Amino acid sequence: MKISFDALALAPAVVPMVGALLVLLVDVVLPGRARLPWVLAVLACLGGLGALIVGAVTGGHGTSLCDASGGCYWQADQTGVGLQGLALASAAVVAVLALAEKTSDMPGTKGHPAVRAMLVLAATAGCVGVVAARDLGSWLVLIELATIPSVALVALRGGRQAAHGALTLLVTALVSFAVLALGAAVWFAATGTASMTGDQVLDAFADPARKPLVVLAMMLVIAGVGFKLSLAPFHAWTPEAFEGSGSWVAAFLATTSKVGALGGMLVVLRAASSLGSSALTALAVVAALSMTVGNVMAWRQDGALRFMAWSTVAQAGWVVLPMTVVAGGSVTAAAAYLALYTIGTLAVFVVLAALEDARSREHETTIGDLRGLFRTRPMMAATLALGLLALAGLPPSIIGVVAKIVALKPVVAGGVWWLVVIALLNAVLGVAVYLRWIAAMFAPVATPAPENDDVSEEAAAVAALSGNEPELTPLPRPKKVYGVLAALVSLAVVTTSLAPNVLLALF
Amino acid sequence: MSLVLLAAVAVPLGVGAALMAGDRLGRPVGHTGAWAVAVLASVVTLAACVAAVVTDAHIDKPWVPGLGMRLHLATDGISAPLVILAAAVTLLAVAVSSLQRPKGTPGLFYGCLLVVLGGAVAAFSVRDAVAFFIAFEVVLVPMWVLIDRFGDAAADRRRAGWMFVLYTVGGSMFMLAGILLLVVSAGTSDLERLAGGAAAALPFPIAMTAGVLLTLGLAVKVPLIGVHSWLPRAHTAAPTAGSMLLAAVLLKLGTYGFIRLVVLPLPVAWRTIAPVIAVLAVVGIVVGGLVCLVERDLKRLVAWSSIAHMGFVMLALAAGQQIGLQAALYGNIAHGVISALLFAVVGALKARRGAVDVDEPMVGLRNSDPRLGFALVVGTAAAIGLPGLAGFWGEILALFAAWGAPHRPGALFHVLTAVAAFGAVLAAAYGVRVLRAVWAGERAPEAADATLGTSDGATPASTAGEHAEASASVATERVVGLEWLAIGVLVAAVFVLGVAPTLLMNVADADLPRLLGGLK
Repeated sequence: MKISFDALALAPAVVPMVGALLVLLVDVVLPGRARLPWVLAVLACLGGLGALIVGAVTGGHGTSLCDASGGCYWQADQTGVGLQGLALASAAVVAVLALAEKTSDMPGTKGHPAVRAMLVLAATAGCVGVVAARDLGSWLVLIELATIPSVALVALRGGRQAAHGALTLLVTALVSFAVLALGAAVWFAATGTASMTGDQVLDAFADPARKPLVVLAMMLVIAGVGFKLSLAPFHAWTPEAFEGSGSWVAAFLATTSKVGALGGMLVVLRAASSLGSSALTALAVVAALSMTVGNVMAWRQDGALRFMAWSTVAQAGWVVLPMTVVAGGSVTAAAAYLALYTIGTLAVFVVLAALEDARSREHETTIGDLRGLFRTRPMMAATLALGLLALAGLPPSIIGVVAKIVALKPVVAGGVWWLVVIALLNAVLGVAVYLRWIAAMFAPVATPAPENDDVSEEAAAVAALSGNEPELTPLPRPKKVYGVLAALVSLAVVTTSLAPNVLLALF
Repeated sequence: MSLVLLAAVAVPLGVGAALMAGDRLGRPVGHTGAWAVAVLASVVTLAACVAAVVTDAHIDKPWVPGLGMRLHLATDGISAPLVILAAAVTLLAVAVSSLQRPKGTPGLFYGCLLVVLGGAVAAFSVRDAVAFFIAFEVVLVPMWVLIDRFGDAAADRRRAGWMFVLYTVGGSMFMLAGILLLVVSAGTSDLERLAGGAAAALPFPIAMTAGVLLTLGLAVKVPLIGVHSWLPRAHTAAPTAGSMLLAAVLLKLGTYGFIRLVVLPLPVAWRTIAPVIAVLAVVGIVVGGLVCLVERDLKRLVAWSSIAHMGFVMLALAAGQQIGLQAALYGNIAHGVISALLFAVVGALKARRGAVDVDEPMVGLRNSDPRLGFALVVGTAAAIGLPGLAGFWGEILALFAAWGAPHRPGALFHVLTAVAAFGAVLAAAYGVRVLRAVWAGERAPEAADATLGTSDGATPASTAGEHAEASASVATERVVGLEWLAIGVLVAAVFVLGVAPTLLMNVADADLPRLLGGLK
């Protein structure tokens, strides 16, 4: 059998993979460099992104490994390319965050920068690959490649909490792998082929004897990927892992990993979307549950990482929301929402990492630490506010509103009213959840008693007016690189808000 | 000339954002600087709005093709007065703030005012249902910041801000569901085409569902009784400029949304929903009036009277027909002007005396500051609905339209008209109560009799220590300069609208018959 091969289409996944090997190699030749591996990691992610852009500009069709019959084992259509770009870009931001982190306060270990950079790159390659994989074997391997390195990343953080988080994550990963493997087996049994392109599934679905098997396979895959997307009720690992892992690892778990997981889910559901099966109802229940549980729990969190963990759970519900109905634009809508979620979440994590860096990680950032941030660190506060508002779906982050509309439209069109109502109630709840953190940033720093409120504000305003801005917290200035990242992410939010099509057209 | 309309939206939004950013990122902007920029921006916006209305400016460009959403801006007889009202009241609110300075960073304060204005102008001029929703949401966060950061700490501004946000977001989510259903099933989000019959052809159950969802959502914003409880709190806690904008801009978004999204596109569904709305509106008129008879805080009282007045607007809207719509549009503008005036007067009082308790004996305004007293008399008289002032036409036309409402359960609307007329009598009662307490003043004779030198010693120490202090300061701190200018302009507007109602009505007359094609 002759297999054609398009290197450019494979490059977005191959470049990070090669980068991972290169990082290890360089570490052998030049050991003990703390920054070098991360520089390589950033370059590898950007290289992959470059390959993707070159491919898109030169009009490559994103297919590779095609056999004579025309079926391809590697297919990245427009949505796929967009998701791959999202994964690579978010990984690049995460790598820059890791690069900027102070290595000296790594508890216990020296930080193993090379190993960690390798893990990030490997997981990124997995995330990029799973989006395009079209045969059962590579799909399964790549989705695990996207997951397992994250366990090691959390564990390498060191410390008791990290060990706890890593353990939870590991157990979850194993369970979800088992579920996915079972799902894959059932899928194979039902369709009789390892290819995941649509036709065989339709045939199997049309056959009454095999139909239950297909539905079962869908359910299992939804459950398995649900673990990775932290959809309720498969979300339990998220808060533990986020809290134990520190901000940039959590950022990686929240963004790049999620892109990979959604990409993996899309491969399966795209095959299923023509079915309109009960699997979609299961997905609708999961989406509703995720949003509600995530928002209710996020409302009560005071620790920033735990808060973001629950926020992730809630947002995952929004991501899969459009896929619960069979409609033309639902896959694109899910991808677009995921893109918004990634940008908003990165904005939050860049600021959290900057604060963590400035405070030398005395303790986890809590909502109380944000008091007065608008006065002390306006740039960081503005970025954080834009990110949170994007997640909440409120202007000035108009892209957040547009993404919510895009996600809701197919559901309204499909007439699934119970889901629409739950989603809308959650949108209100989400506003309360995210605005609470913004309100904290507006709050004056020291308020011993409510009646002194205005007095202290006026004093601060007077001091501010007279030009000697008081240093309200002894917070050292975060490194420049955080400022640059914050500016970039803010720019992304603002640009996409003014012209939402910049984002929507990617998918 | 399409640039004018774009400027009317972009200038306040851009300058507002720049003020907020400049305040935080560079050296903090001083009050005078921020104020001057805000005045300049709102003057430019007002000029651009007027120019856009006069030249009939029009923009239509693709914006988000993925959603079929276009950047389609235009004004017509329904939106033109609202756009100009929003810009003018914002300018006056900025002017008032020159003396009632915001507590806190001025750049943020004026930035928020301008962003609210920009969002409102955008909402009134967009011709796309989805874009209307987005513009509607733009005003939310800045208004919340105005209440939460610059509000009155004594009035529990934090809670007021939260209630405002959650009620409004809750409402707008219902509205979003309704808009999406409307857009998806009619196949267009263009308001002209929706009103032109694209939505009227929908099957009744879908039209009804969309209508109910939109009604639920917009009722919060108006507000109708039942979902009104955010309003008195928000008004009481908000700074004067914020209250003026709330009354003259935000509440108008609700009624405007009703006209654009429910009454015009879904006439059949609206005919079914209207009796319920009419009942709620009349309940609002009566309850608002009754609460005003006992409410002690003057600012809260004015807020409650807003609920009663919006009740008249909604009653007119529910009555339908051209005259009902005409009355609703007129009442809308009149309420905006009157309550902006009242909030400006009450705010000026509050800045000098602290929160005004209607039941406490106080120095009459006619003695302490006759000019402000005159403004209060005009505002209250207009709110009562005296002929010759702005409030009269809105109310009388609303009652007239409700009496003659066709195709409705006739007896119901007749009863409602009678009850609403009783509500107008209540308005007279609470208006007189306010005037007697605040304008005439229980303590006026003593304060007038006592010479300046003995007033401190003559007042008993038990109740009136602070009053003596207040009266002394009020005597010196009359409403002057820009604050008086702003109030004076509003007073003049109340007179002009009352004496020459046709000025405003002719604007809408040109467009209404065309738009109402489906409603007859």
